[in-house]
Amino acid sequence: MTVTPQDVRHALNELGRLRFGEMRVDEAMHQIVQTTHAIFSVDGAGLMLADAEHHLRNAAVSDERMRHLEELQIRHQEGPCVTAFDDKVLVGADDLGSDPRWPAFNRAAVGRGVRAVLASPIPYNQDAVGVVAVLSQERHPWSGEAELALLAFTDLAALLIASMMMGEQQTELAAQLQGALNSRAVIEQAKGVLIGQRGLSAHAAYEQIRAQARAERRKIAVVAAELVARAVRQN
Amino acid sequence: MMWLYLLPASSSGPPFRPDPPARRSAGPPGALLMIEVDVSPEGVTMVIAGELDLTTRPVLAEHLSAVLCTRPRRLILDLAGTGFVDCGSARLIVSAGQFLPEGRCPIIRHASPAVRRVLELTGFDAGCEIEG
Repeated sequence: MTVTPQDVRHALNELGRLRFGEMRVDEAMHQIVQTTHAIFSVDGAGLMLADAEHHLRNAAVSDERMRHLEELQIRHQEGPCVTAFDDKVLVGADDLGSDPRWPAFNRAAVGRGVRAVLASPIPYNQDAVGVVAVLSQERHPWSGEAELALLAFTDLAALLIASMMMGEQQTELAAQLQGALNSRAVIEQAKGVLIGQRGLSAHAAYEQIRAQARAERRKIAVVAAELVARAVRQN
Repeated sequence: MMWLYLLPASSSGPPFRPDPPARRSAGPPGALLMIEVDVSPEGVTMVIAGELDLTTRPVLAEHLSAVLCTRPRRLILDLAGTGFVDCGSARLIVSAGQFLPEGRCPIIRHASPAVRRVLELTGFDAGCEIEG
């Protein structure tokens, strides 16, 4: 199975009938996901958006297995979509059965019929607000063409989201994303504090904040806000 | 060509500025400036119809910032439907380059001779790629 640029062009043209002004955002997301699924002929496609806790939640899915992906990534706090979202890079996993990056997640995912994942972060300003992902229940080498195709669908999703955020139509979804962006801002500040104080890398700083939030069963944004407040007092 | 309006039609007020009586409308009735956004594997294209001047600049700015929010890998402005670009609008377009990946600048397509002339006289042609 290959994804050709012609197929992608054709699919984007089909999606051209999307008139976001006349259509609800969730319906538009659903269409993007359905088209992505069809063009990749994979076992599932989905669009996930971050909530204020930085958990990636399904906003639109084409297959039930996307729910496994969502649930397992939240439970294990790791996975290809999480990495794509945190590092703001495209992440491809051809075979979760032998991928060393997310050991706990992988074991559970393979057991539930999620074997290969390609995930692309949805940019909004300096941040990511979610991911577009496709999954396969078999091993699946993701080609360069597939990566480009997913990027094109991500562009479309990003435009949809940007138009929603900038439009005056305030939806529940827009409020959720704004909450996520606000919490992301304070987490970025807290990372800066840890980098400055302890010489950690950005990634290690984030892991530390997340680990603390998890250990104390508190919200990651709350832990981050405390760290920032403490640093301000000390100065 | 795929297209989407960036402003929801259900938002309060018309999506685009009302047409002053004396102006020729370039878009649908009531539209002074029409901007469509086209997504393709090569990047994001803004197809602009109408004149880019002081009165339409806020609309251009709003649409441009919405598009730049999505961090496009390549940004193409198709000016086939644009007869006039003022200096401020040209500056706005060129300044979009700072939000594109390192080393990339906006690509301007189908610029009329008059529009090219504005870009050349202002020196903004150095900050964009002009294609046929």
